[in-house]
Amino acid sequence: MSADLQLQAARVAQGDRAAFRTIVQHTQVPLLRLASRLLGDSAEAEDVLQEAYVKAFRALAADRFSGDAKLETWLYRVVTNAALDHMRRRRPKEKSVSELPEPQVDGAGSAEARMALRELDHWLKDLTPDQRAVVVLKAIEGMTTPEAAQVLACSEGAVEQRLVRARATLRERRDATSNRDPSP
Amino acid sequence: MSHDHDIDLELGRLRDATVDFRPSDGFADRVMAAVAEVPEVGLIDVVGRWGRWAVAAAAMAAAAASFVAVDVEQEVNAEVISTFEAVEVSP
Repeated sequence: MSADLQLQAARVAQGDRAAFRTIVQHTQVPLLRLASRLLGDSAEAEDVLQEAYVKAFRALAADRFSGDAKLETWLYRVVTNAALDHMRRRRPKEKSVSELPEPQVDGAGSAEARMALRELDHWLKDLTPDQRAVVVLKAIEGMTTPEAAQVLACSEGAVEQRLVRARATLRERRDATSNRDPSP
Repeated sequence: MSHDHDIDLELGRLRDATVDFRPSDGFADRVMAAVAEVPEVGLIDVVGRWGRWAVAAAAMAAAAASFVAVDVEQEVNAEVISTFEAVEVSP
């Protein structure tokens, strides 16, 4: 599949716009899942994903995709960057899970998945965008450290450092929550 | 990291619970409609693509020309000095 997508990417570079549809159709599900997990909102994720696809198309059409990395990895990078930019631009969420708006029903995800996404978003809300991206890529998407470093265009050491800090923040949050609401 | 076990468990649970996401109907069509509005690759893109190489090549050519110029100037100076030394002034 990867070789096929590399071929489609080469076609886009030669001016074949229709080849880009094949790339979208084969990558939209995992990329939407990634964007949703990064942003904590599937409707917002769809907008960001569309924006990221347009950026990717521009880059492919201008022959700026070197082909050194797999196309999927490169798309993961484009989508992660678009989501990080979006996170940095928007206002921080301070609401608790129960105060967040009800999941929209016009998107495409089960009610349980939408509920879990809100929970994940709430759980990761104290992390910086970079820390959140590392947690999502490694602990949720299941990437290795070198893969996450490639997507984030940083060193493996930087990935590990962000993960350590993220875990420390999650621990603090867990401890604060358990002190506030001691179980019987 | 054993005290992070519950954090790992929670992340694992949320990973499994957030698998079921699919783009809404017509998403690929909307992307292709947005892509259709992207202008064709034009002269500016071509200049942008090759411009950096052109600048690098021009910089290298300028450096080489400076080197040659300095070298030639030194040769000329050497020739001038040797000419002066060769001149005999008759009384």
